[in-house]
Amino acid sequence: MTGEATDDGSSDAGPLPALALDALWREHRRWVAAILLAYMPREAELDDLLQEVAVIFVSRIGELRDRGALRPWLRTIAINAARMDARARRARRVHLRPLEDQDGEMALADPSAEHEQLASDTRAEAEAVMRLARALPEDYREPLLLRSVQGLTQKQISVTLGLPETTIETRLARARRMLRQQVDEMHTPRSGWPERSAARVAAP
Amino acid sequence: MNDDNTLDLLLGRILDRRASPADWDSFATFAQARPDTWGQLLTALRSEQGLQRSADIELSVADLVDLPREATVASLEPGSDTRGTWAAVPPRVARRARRPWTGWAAAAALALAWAGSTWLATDGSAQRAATGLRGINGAPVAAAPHAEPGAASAPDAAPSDLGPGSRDEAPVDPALLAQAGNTAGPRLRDAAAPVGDDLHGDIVGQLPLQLVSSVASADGNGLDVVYVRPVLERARVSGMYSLGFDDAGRLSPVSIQPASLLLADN
Repeated sequence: MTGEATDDGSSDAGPLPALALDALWREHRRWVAAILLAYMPREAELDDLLQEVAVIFVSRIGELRDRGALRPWLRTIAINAARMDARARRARRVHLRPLEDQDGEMALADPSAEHEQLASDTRAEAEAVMRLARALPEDYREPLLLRSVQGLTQKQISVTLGLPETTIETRLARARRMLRQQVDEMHTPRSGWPERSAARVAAP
Repeated sequence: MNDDNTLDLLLGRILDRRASPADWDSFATFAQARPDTWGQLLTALRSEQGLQRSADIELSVADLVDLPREATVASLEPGSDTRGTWAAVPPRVARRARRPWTGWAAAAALALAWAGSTWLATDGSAQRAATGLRGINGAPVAAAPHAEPGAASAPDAAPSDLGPGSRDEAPVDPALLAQAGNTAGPRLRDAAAPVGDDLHGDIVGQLPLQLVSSVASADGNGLDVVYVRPVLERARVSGMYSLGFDDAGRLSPVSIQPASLLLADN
């Protein structure tokens, strides 16, 4: 490896040995998955899209002149992969119109539905919050989902998104407010929020 | 900045565990003036916990997605030396390399089913059919003509290079097959993963090659052929596990006995 090291553990120039590239991918793949989660269609498979990003990562890393720009570069790849998948799905929907429900949404089986039946209330609630988070406006859901990646700092998020840290903090605060409001609405009995009776609440 | 925005920022810092003493004081002042502040903190904590749990589960998928193996990339670029570095693959080729084994596994399964049925039909040996050796996706595997079940394994047995289009059967020791498990490498990676590093096994056998396509070469010298070369690998691992969920809905590894893995595949 040649060139000056960056905080990503990569260098500025020269080919990366396979092991270094592998390590680089392992370091970044979780937050890349979070980006995909923020942009991909609900019915898309996260691992499929991440695999696609991995292939592009390997094949195009040599084109990246400034390895310090790795995070924004990876983010762009992930967003493009998610949007291309969404476009492909929209094209396919034309042939699947009979399956659409009244709202124009696909009436495809929710892959998580089966799991929910078996899962605990805790998991059902967690999934409900995630659905709400993914439905937030783009500018807010992306930093929020990135923040949910363990170990990712606000500074790293700001580098990834190319925005000042103060902007990230403001967006995160607004995203959380929106999420709070929606969670409050879901708490009402008619909303379908997973209710639990007092008797089922376990003592701490 | 209005009070709502200030409260949002304070709540954010509390959730991120980076609130300063001044932030805590400000929050206490808010809570005294507006009792609903506590309710907001409660909802914020609940949402954050739910989001964190869900993200842990959803994003854990990422830990299972590795870079495409070097061999795959190298195979897409004939003549390129990719040892030590990852090859630069043209984007179009790279797209085709996505999940390279999924299509091939299906093709190999069909090929094996065909080869197996042909072999059984021509050989007609009920005893050998009853050995029940099965390969990818349950298709019969052609065993070595003189291999005895339980015979000494040959770890150094090199896969025979049959060449494109050949229908010869590679020597496959049934004992090795049993040790290698009833799964092909990629499928094994899907079903379970060894504790520790990725699988890098020794090649212990090769299944019949399957011709996919052939065209006359542009320069008139021979044919350009595309074929599937399925190989069997054997590796020693410290354990096997699959990913499941515990009572709290967290992703957790669950041990798998090799026997149950074999049964699951049958």
